[in-house]
Amino acid sequence: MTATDEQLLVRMQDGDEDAFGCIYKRYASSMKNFARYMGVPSGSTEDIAQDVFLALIHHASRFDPERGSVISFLYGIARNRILRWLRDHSRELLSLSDQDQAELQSQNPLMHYTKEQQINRLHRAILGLPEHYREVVILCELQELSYEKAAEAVGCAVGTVRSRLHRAREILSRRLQNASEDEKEVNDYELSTLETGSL
Amino acid sequence: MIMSCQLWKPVLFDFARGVRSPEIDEALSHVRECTDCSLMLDQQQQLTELLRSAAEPNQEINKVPENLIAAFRANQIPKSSRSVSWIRAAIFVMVMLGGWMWYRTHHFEIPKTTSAHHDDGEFIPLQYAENPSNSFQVVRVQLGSSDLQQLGFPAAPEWENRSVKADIVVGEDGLPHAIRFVTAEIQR
Repeated sequence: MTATDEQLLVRMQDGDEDAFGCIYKRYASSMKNFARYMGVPSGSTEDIAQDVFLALIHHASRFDPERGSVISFLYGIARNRILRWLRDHSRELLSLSDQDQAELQSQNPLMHYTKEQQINRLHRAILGLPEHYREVVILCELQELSYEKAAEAVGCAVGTVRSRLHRAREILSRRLQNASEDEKEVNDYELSTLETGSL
Repeated sequence: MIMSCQLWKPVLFDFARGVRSPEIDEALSHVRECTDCSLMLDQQQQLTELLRSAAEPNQEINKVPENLIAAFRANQIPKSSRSVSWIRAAIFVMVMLGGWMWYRTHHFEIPKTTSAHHDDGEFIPLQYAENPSNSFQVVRVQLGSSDLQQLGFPAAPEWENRSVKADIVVGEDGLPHAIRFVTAEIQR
């Protein structure tokens, strides 16, 4: 039978290295993905994940099962590390987003939008959300946490998570709608120019 | 949007995510009559689909980085070391406590006089005498110049006919250990 996270954490606190390894293997990838979705470049997500597990090694005793699950505890640590990273690297991130813009502009506007491109657009729209909306979208939608677990990780009420998520979804839906209308306009214009040229 | 649309909105957002609230049937009957809510639900369901396809599966990780294993091992204190640490701490506390008690019993403290009128002067230790050990008494006396000389004060001809009032700390051994002058010299 597979051990629960809580059982693994207890064993880990008793010095069981394998138990720590199990927790790492279960959640390291989730921590990296969380960091990447939040806007940390791929090159630094590994550092964030390692920071989370170092904190777990040193502060495992702070985990209180009455306040939440192990996964929420880990996401809570990751959230703090990620927000700090984003604040510390805000300048670099600005220049990165400029590069993204340049890449976008270089794309062929006549190209049909594939699923992958729609997803890229969604990721950019998520990155454009304020942090408190972004984190709930990532936790509840991309990491598939329940409202309760997301609330434990973020440190707020379940109702707050729910209302933030709804508001974030509204914003995302509107932005994606506007973006697709803009692109459609560009495509129609380019097509009509091509057709006129061919006559 | 009218008021009822706002009421059903959270239920419909949850429904679009695949979460069914108890009020969902009522909300859906509202959607059938409201084009705004119908459009909104449709967009939200499309968004859910897109979000699900955007969620990347977590990669399988088979190896824990060496530096984390090293940090984990470094953080482990063997239980035997823990008990040794406790014993050390207990010894430290006992030594400190013993030291404090020794200080309390052996250290010479200048006694304070019970008289509120004369507590401004300081006791002068008499150099030839050792500190009193456990108990002592404060005795008020009137001293002449010869008495002062016996206590080690230098003789002065102008003090021939004078006396002074003083408090003397007398130890268990019956010897004076400290003196405090209470009044200015008075004429005999």
